[in-house]
Amino acid sequence: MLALATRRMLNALITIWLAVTLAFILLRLLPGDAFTARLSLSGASQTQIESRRALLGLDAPLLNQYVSLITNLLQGDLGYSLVSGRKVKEMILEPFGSSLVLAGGAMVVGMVMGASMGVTAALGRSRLSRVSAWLIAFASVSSPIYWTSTLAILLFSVGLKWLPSIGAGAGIRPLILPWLVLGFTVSGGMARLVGTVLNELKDSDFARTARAKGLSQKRITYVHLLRAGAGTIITFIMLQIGFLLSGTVVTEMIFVRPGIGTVLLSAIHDQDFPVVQGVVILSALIYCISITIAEVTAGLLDPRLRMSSL
Amino acid sequence: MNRRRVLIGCVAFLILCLIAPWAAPYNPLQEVGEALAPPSADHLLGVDWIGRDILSRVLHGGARTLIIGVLALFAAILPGILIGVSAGWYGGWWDWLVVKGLNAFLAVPGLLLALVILTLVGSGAGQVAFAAGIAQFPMAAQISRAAGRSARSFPFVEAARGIGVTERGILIRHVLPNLARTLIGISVVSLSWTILSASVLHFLGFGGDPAIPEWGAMLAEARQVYRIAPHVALSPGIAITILLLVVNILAEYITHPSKA
Repeated sequence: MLALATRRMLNALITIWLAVTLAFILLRLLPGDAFTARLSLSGASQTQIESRRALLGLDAPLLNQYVSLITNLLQGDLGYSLVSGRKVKEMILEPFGSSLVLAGGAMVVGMVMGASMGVTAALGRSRLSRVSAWLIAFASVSSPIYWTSTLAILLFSVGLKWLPSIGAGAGIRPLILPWLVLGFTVSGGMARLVGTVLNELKDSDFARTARAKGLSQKRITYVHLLRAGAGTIITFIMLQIGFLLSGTVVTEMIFVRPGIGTVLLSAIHDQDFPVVQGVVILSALIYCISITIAEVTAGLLDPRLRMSSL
Repeated sequence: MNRRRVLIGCVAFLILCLIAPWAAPYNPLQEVGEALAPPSADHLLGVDWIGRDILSRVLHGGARTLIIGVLALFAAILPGILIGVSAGWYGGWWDWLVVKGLNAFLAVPGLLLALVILTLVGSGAGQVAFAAGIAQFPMAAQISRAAGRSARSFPFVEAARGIGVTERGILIRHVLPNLARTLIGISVVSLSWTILSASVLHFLGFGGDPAIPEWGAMLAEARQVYRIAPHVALSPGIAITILLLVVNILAEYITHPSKA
């Protein structure tokens, strides 16, 4: 078990390093940068621009820039924004909590909605309930988040006036619509996965034994079947985190909620590459941590996986 | 439901989307009615904020969306599938390299990757297609790799090896035709994802000229006026959901023919 965990961690480090390198290469291909553009707009002379660029290390050879990026990263330093001059780490970590609340809540909503749709689609009593659960799951994967949010705002904020259309402010009320919308977007994939897993497992030997023992169908479904499929489902949930991050960007924009997404969109707009690079590194880090957790948990739950991956 | 009928229905719908622009009653770029007028006999879906006919714009937008999706499919997804299958099939250092590379790509959320690429190549329809394709490429390659890997233990593969066919020969003559259904399924699922992310990118304003009809861009415009004229937002939104539903159902019928 320890060997597996160490191996996974090593793999995660390699992945993060490759993702950082990928971001470095992509972003250095950019023709201009925000810094130079802003300085020339403000009327700075060519020599002034050059001296400032030298100060930030922007004119150093690429290899040197790369080496200093990696050494800085190892010390937890993400550099400075080219637009505001602020520390990238601060710019990203400050709104991180707000994005985490949005994404985390949406994940819970999505998993509960997805699991119940999947259970109904696979084991629902009537054909009607099975088909409708299946159709809702399909509608979820077929609706872009900007459209479901617009529809939700039209219905619940403009029409019924139940909830605010702005996702910021104190309390839980402003968060309800963003949570529901983002949760619905994530739920479709979850529903289809749970449905497939249950369809595969419902005729297995242990399910038949449990039924013969006289256990209720509910107990069999939630305790026996879903636990047997837990490895697959946990891995899927962890893989959804990247997708969730993408959804968070759009949700924050539509519900005018400050967060990583708004920071990212304006950084992209301004070609502020240290900030974009910081977000890429942060998401790679989150991805690797969640994948490692998923793999180790799956190994804990299913001894076969532990053996085969060693 | 008859499986063949569903398949034909889906494909027919997609073809209709492609020829829909010819059925448009007005020029989608021209101002032909009173701004924000509700649906009427002259303008079945109403008029947008500067007086363009929404029905015409929706009909033009569908073809555009589909073409962008197909472009993305050819530019990024098909190469991804080939890389994935060959990595799974050959194994060894090539597989190792592909897996490590894919992991790095997968670690960056698709939308983020697409946005970075767009800052690099600028905005526009072709650029959006490319970025949306690249964003979906690692996922498609990874699933294809699993398919290629599973092919290694097919009985007919061992038989072909036994009579001395080369590895490359087996891949082209036996494995690819046998994986065709799986790979087409992966392509159609990827098509739905690329259409989705391309429309999100258009919505975020990276599609170039905003006058050109595209559903995501239309919705972004409609959001400016949705409090006074909600009908402007409804049509492109419903349209994209229907198109994606059709593509997703098509994918489901291709990958799981038995359940249909």
